[in-house]
Amino acid sequence: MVVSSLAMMLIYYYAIDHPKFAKWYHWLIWTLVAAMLNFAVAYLMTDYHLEKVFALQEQPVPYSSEFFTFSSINAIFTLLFCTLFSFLIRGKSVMCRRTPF
Amino acid sequence: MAKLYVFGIGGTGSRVIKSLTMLLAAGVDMNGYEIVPIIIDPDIANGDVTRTIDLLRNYQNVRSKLDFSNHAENRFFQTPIVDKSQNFRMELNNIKDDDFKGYINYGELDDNNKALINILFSEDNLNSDMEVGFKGNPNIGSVVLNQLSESQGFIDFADSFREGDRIFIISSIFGGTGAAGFPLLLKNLRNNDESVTNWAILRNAPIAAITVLPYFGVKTDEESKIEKATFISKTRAALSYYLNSVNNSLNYLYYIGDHVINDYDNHEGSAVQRNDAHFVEVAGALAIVDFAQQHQDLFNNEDGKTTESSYKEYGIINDSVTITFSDLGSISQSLLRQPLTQYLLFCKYLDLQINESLDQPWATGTTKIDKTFMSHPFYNRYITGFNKLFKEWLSELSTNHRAFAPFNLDVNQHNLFEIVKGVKPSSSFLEKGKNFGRFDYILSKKEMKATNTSVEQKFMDLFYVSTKELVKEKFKF
Repeated sequence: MVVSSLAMMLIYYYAIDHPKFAKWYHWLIWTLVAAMLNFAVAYLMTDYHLEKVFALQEQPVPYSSEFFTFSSINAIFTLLFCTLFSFLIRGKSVMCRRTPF
Repeated sequence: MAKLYVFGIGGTGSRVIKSLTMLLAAGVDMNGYEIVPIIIDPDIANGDVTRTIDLLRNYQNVRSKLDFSNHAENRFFQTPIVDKSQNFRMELNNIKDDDFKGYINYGELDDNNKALINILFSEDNLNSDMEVGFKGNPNIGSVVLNQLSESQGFIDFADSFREGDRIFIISSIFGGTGAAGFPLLLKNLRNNDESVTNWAILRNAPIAAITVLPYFGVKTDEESKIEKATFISKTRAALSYYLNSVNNSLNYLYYIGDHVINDYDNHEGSAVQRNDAHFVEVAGALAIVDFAQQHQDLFNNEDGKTTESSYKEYGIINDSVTITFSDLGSISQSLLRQPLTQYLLFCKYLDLQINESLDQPWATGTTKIDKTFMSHPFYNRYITGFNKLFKEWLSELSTNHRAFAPFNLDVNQHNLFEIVKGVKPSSSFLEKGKNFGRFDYILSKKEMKATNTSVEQKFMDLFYVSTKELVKEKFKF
């Protein structure tokens, strides 16, 4: 989650770094996408591994609300880390060095 | 810094100086010279003269806020333009309220002298008022302009002249003021009148001139004394005079003219004489640039004469009715393409985009370019005012006959880089931003290296280096 947050912000500030994608709301969309990606990865990976365990026991996978909570916390931390990394790494970006503010 | 004194005689002189000023604003290099324009025109209210003086003042106002030491990157307005006379003009005395007869004190002449005068000048000539100039009569001009060397303007000029300075004289050969004034001015510069300050330096100074042959006509108007039909005969008469009297006094003599394919409205002078800019005037300005580049060793003057005069005539590659850059020779292209394109892109950005881009990184750094800056006179009056005149000048050039129209002046935010006619802009799949978006990207990239400086300096530095990079990237100039 930490690595993926850093990777996403590096892509935003240095690979994309585009005049048409440099406003604060573009940054917000991007961090929300990062958060949703991490939410999805966390949920799906956890579900996949537990499926394999409970398939042997021929039971449905329990703890779905815990998956959701876990994935949501993952997403929230992604937002926090994205924000932190934004301020740490944006200085050399051409178009986005003052994004989001 | 050495000076290049540019005497612009008559309406043509003013218009060439105007074109020169536009080229200097765009950053054309004058080899380190300060330019000192001096306009000689008895027509005080002449529209062309007034426009040129306003432009020169505007140029000075912009330049006064800028720094051109080594670390500054901007080269727009890099050449100093200095006023050593009264409002860039050499004043002529006793012509405003007098006709020619009164000027020469005809009434007090004895009969013999009157008879001589009556042979040399027609009744019309004698009764001619000179408030709007000499109305295409160089015979009148050659008498009146003899006062040049006694005028305060000439005295001030001679006082300020130094070793290493140069002189350039612009005149038309088919009018009244220029045709008369040019040989007289040259005579005053090269003579050995020891009462003139710095006479010894002046008489051996490097001097060049451009004589502009007919390039436009005037419509027939019975109320005007000026007739197109006399332009060629006057040209012939003046050229035969120059053959013996002028040629060995000049280091360089430039010629330019064109087929007369456009008739302007026939105005004898005053505020209504305001001709549209013509490419001949731009080429005339290029002669001044050429003279400034010549090495000092090429000038061998002694006792007011030159040992070797050079003669240059301007030509274009293709005889097009509408000239674009590709119709020009390689030297003209190299002098004009990059600076004019850069400055026009600068104008376009300020016209169409700047208000939308004040939140971009290039405008929100330590030195902010914001609404406060845009309300200051530097931006609000001087830059905006100058750019308006620049665009008008390009527009006039593009609609005249023959036209100089290397640009698509009506490009907008969707097709900005189609601005140069006949040049397809290059683009890359990986480049960031299109049109003004690309412009913003380059501005923001350049701003990262900007030094701490005044807001005006930062503004001009940014736009100069960014337009330079854009022109190189898109057009390979």
